Amino acid sequence: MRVAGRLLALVVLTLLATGTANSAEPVLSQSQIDKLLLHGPWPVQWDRDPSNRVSGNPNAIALGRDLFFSPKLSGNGKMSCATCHHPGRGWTDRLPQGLGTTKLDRNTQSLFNVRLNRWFGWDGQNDNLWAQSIRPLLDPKEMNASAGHVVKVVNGDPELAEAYENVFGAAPDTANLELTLVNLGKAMAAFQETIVSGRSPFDAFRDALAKGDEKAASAYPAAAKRGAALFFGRGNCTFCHTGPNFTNGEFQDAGVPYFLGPGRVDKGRYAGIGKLKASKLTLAGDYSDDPAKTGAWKVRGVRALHRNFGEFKVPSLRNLTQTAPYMHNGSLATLEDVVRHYSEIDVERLHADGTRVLAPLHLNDREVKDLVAFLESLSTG
Amino acid sequence: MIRTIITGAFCLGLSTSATWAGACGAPDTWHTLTPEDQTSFKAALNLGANTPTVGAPFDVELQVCSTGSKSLDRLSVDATMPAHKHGMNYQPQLSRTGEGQYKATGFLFHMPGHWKITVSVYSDGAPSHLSMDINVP
Repeated sequence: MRVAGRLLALVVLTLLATGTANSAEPVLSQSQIDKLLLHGPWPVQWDRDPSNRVSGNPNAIALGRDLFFSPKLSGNGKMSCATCHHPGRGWTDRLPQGLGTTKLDRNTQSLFNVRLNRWFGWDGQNDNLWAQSIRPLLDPKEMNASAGHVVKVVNGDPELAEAYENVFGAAPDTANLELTLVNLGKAMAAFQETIVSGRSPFDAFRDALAKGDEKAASAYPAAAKRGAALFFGRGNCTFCHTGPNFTNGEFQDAGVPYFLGPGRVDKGRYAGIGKLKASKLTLAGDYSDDPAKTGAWKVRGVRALHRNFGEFKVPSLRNLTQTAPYMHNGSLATLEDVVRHYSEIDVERLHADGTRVLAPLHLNDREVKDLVAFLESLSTG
Repeated sequence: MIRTIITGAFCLGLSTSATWAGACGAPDTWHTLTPEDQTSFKAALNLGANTPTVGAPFDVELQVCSTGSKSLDRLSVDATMPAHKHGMNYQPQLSRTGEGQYKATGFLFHMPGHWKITVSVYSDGAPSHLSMDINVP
């Protein structure tokens, strides 16, 4: 793969040399290609969630889909999970901040590739998808329901009740509301695990470089190639947006203000860790179906650090063209806004010592457009 | 006093065909840690066959031995990115697997670049440190 990468570096240079007005301009160096190749192949292999015994179960997926789209689960009977996570809107709502019973503080995250997450929510307050599926149901600002209400709805619907019994081997247990709610969360998680993004133009380019396929590599737009050179080069975007899913799955202060109003701040990861540690629904808890508690290392080992204040989850960069607006508070409307934010970032408000992870890039207009072109190439539509 | 590691190695049933030229009698495929300060201990660390991948959890094995009469009270292991002056988001969990042998689970390097793994050994209340550098692509 490394030899092929070197050959392609030469090819990429040659193609540019014979092409455009910027004919003497190098595009991707070998170092950049080496980093680029680490961001694939796509799709990645995925194994069923051992903490969820119905992960991958077709009947559970079907039940989870019905629950996901049912407004009856919400307190007012009008709001389903799909109200905010709309399949036609990139599995989000395209609003700056979500709207439940009231306007929320954070942007609704897309569910594309959610099964690959290590942490769930902008603050990572859950370490698994089934717990995260339950959270909005019970939040008075979101779906404003209770375990009793949700279980009553399922039990009172003959089709849902039958589907539940088919999946879990018994009727919904109204005497153990928490267990029944967790089971419903597991069915919804099983459905959400099927929401995956397809291959993008970047993936085709990446694989072409890996194979030494000159013709296929040449199909990738020149602007996106220049953007890739920035992304994998002096932009240092791969400090955080790394791997095939373009995220390290962790948290970062990206210089986006977290003051919500007079006397109110969004504490981000700092608050999320607090909620995680207080939760019964973690991978270390009794509701995990994994006897080995494989994923429990996260909740057991995660550190609560001062720098977590104001840190938010590093999102995947896949399918961004479908999931505007951006950042944890939806404050940036377009990808160009995002790139300009990083280009002119105010490092004084970032609490960091040592070499800056984030530093202003001072991109010119063409470089901004090139980086946007690269980001757009990570999307399938 | 910690007994020599060779005894511990045989107790684990490890292959006697391995080359045991590393620190504390560890296989020479292990990394010998470099003392950061005056220490009466040596240590070797095993990362396994592959360099850690950014964003993927991994475990390490440790062998620690005394070079003199000092006894080991306790030890800890951690990692930092010296250039960025930050550590990992997770505290590795350490367990003893034999005489002078340990396993540390729950490492995760969340950024590419230069990391430093540091083993801190405590004897008579005084710490000393041994480390190794690793570059993660």
